[in-house]
Amino acid sequence: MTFETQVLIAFILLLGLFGWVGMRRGSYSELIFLGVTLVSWVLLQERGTVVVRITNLGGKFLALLQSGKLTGEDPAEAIQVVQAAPDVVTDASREGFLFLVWALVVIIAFIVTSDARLIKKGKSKQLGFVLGVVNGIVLIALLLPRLSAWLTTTTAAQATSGSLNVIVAFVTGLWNLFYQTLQNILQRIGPISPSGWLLIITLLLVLIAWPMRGAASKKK
Amino acid sequence: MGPIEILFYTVMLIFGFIGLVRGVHRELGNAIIFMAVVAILGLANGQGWIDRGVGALASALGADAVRTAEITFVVYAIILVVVVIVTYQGKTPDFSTKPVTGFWGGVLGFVVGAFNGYLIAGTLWFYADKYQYPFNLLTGPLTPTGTLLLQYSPLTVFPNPVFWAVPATILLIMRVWR
Repeated sequence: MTFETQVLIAFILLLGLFGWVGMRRGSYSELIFLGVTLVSWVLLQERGTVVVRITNLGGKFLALLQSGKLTGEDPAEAIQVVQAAPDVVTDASREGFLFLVWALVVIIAFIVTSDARLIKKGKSKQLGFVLGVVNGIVLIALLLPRLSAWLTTTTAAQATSGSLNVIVAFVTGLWNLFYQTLQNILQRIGPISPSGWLLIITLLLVLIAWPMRGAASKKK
Repeated sequence: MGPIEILFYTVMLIFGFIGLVRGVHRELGNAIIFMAVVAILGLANGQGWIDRGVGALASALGADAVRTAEITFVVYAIILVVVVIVTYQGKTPDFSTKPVTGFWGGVLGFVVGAFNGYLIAGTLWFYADKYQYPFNLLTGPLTPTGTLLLQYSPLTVFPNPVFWAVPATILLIMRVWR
């Protein structure tokens, strides 16, 4: 079997999976998801500067709040704090930041469009499958440039050995990537104070418990 | 044997999978109890209640300092393990009236289960470290990762472990509020 045939089979398997997910989620969900994915990508590529500016302004406002000059008597001091505050998103991190924003939009869109209470399933399963495949092509096209850079450095060497090593190497690489990203984020935001941890833990638990809140049903 | 943090990760993972199977609504009930127990054990640790009690008993029995440390660790461990068994076996203030099921129920169950694992394994690790790893639980020095993780154990992440009562109380209010 030629390498091209293997690639083709891999793509068919992957797109088949997307199609199956599309069939399960329904055509309306897939259509909305496709629209959000494409529109948000184009908007962020073309008009991403607006999001970057808003984020930087938010960062400067936070710096102003932390300095305590917001309620000060001298407005010049407040302006000085705002001017001195560094940009949250620099030119170097702009691309990564916009990708993160897009990824968040895609995840939220996926969750929202999966809710059967909000969006009807649509009658045609076939259309759902086709739209799922289209979504798969779009996502693969947008994500592959980033994934391929990582995959070639982690698994290509092991892939030729043809054993289960490729899975072990993939999982290890994925774990290292996750760990490295987490470390970078923690380094970027700096040490979190105990009250910060308390707030994070409490908020997380409250958010998880929120849909289940409420006591036992009322006695009849 | 590998570093102790591997054991810590493994316990978290196991409890994560238990959470995945049991569901997030049950795991949240356990989390309320575990956070309350960590707060109480932290308070007991700060006040030295268990240490004093065990110390008095051990000195009456003629135990040396090493043996006293071992017994104190065992007392803390038994209290925690009994609570864990009772909580997983018995009834807890869980959120079964409106459970989140399906994929997200499983994912959230895993997350809260792993959090419960962190509370249990982290608390046991804290006490094992405090009493110089009795019964040769650790034979070599801690790795840098182990030292870092220990700073974030349930009893050290806050200046006072009673802080754990805050999320526990909020969850309890959410549970009983109509």
